[in-house]
This record gives sequence, structure tokens and C-alpha cells, in this order.
Amino acid sequence: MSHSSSIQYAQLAGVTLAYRRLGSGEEVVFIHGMAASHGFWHLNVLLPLARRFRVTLYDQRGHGSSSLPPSGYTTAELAEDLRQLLDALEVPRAHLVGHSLGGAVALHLAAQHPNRVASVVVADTRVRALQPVQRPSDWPHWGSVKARLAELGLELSDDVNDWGMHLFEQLASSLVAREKLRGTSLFIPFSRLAGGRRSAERWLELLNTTSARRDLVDVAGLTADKLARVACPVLAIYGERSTTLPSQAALSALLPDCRRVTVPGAGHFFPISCPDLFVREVCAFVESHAQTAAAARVVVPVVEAAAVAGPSLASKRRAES
Amino acid sequence: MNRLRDGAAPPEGVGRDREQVLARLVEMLNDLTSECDRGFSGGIGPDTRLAADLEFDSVDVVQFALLIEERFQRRKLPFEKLLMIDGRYRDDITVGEVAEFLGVWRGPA
Repeated sequence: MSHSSSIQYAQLAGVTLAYRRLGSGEEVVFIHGMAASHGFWHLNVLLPLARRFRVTLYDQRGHGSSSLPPSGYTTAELAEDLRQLLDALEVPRAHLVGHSLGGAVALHLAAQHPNRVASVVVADTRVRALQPVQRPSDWPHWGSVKARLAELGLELSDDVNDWGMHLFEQLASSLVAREKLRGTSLFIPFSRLAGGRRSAERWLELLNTTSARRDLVDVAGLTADKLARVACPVLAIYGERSTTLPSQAALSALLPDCRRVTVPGAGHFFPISCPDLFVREVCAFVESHAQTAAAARVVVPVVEAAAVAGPSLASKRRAES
Repeated sequence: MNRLRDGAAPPEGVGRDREQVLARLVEMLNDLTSECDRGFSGGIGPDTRLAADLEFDSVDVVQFALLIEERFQRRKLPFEKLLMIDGRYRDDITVGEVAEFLGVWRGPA
């Protein structure tokens, strides 16, 4: 019997990636964002998508249950990890759905290896080459978030660039130092479902013991010229209130085949806060670019066998580096 | 009033079916957990909790839901009505609650 939902490990060059697969049909790979893990993708996103597609979830290097190599955290290297994972899974070509950093990884793979990528969903990704500066003071909604952070005893400079990374670092430090934090919508990467305190500890370990702090802010070759070569269909779906919104307009202007969707009233974490719209858009987009005719709107037997269990994330030890 | 029924009248035969549904769920969960070390030595019954006792995480729950749809030959069951309250995920659910949910929500075959 197979173990289609159990966590498995792919031994790649210099890294061990944890992954899980469920459903059947078109190959769709989900790529989480900075500081998160595959637990970021909640049940009300996964269930409807796994009813239609073969879904692969994985933890990027240094995140979740994957190993924590000392280097290799640029989007170029993270995209190479994904290419190797596709090789290991014998998936020649897949649709990629990336949130935040995950969207940049997807675009990087599509630019480097266009034959491996059927389509890309870019969900609220700041594309560094197109939006080089991201400061709180440039964001019209900063005031309300600043006030909520102040209630938690946190403070972030109005002028700091790459403030998402700094914010997650502060939030993780607070979570590790205290029993419980209020204001949960700020803490989605570290929510209970996404690994809670363990995710926060992992993020701090990643920033403090590896090259990630430097690598994650590197354009790493994903320039406007290279992005313009992404020929596959792209869905650029962004939250109306997100700090990454300027990237959506720039991507739309640059890419030859880009559908633009803005989620009304939503912030950066709309795949969690507005899952219904996200699911509807992703399903329609993937089905409209299905690689096989049978994939379109067909409910397939999704479970390979009776034995679908394996040790849960909670019971698993982290993969060895 | 039963929260799961959400005001809807239960289909006929729910009471009679419940024990059968429960038995099938227990059988499925025994299959699911038999080949891995879940650290749960007690027998699975209606009071068994998916997260606390069987160590299910959210992806395990998704796979369990997909398996239920396949084994019970029902499509698009509204699992969110079982798993969420007021837009928030419940901390845990019992096998008995899943059985009750299946008795109420028939879904298209």
C-alpha cells in the first residue's frame, strides 16, 4: 500500500526536502513563503484542490521538516531545489503555486527551465527586481499594523527595507520568549496549524546560523530581462491591501501572458484569510492550462490506497542535514 | 440542537446508519494508522480524537476526508462545517463527530 499523504524525504544535492503528496490529476506543486512551511496551506485550500489535482506540498530548505544547510537560500538555489525535487518525483512538468517567496521561486524556475513549468500562480510575491524597495512608510496601511505591533511591545522602523523579514524575526522572537501572543492574524507563518513555536524557532535558527539573511534579499539573477522570458501563463493574484501590490502591476506589464487578480480588502495572507476566492481562481487557472484533456473538471479517485497515513508532522523528527 | 445539522432535517435512517458508518470509519482509521508509529495504543472508537490521539495534522485530515469521499462514494462533502466554527478551525474532532457528520451530509454520489 502506498503512503500518499505521509511525509516523505527527498535526498537531493546538499539538502533533504520533506514533502507530501495527495490527490491525483494535473501535477500542482505548492511553494510556501518565507518563515513558513507546507503547513501554511490550510485544509480549506488543500481539500478542494486535492479533489481535482495531484498536489505536492514541500518544505523549502531551512524550513519545516527539511534540512538546514548553511547556505543556498537565494531564489535561484531554491528553484534548483525544486527542479531536483521534480526530478526525484519523476514529474516532468508541473503547475506551480507560490505564496510570497514561493512565487519568486516559481518564477525563477519558469525562467531557468521553461520546459518544467506548465503555469505559475504568483500569490502576493514581492519581486525584488521590480519592487526593489519595500519600506513600511510606503505602505498606506502601515499605521494600523504599527499600532498593533506596539500593543505587543514590538517596534519596527518606518524606513527599514525588506521589512517583512525583520517583522517575522521580531514576531518569532516574541513567540519564542512568551507563552502566547495576541493579534493572531499577524502570526500566520507561526500559527498553530503551521507549526507554531517550532516554526518560529526554526526561522530564528535559519536567520542566525545560515546565509539566509543575505541570500533572501538577493535578486539572484531574477532580473526584469530574465522575468520577461517567462513565457508560460502566469496568474498574479495579490491582496488589495498588501505591501507587495506594486509587484503585481510590474509583472503584468512585463510578462507576455499574465492574468491579474486583486483580492478585495485582503492583505498578504489572503490564501488563508480568503481561501474561497483563491481556490476558485487557482482551479480555473490550472484547468484552463491543463496539460491533459482529462484533467479539466473531472473528479478523479483521489486516494491511491487505503494506507494514506504516516507519522504526522507533530511526531516527526527533523530531517538530518 | 445539533450543531452539525445546522437546522436541516436529518435524512431517514440516520440513527440506524450511524453504527455502520462508525464501524467503517474505525476500520479506515485502523488501516491508516496501522503502518506507522502514532503512539496510540487504545482501540479506536467514537471518542477517539484525530489530533490528540491519532496525531493527525491538517494534511492527514485532508487525506482522511478524501478517503471518506472515495469509500462512501460521495463528492464534495462540506467538511468545513465539521472542521470549522465561526470561520476558525476547531482544535480537534472525534471519530463520533465524523460519523454524525456523514449521517447528516449526504452529498452527491
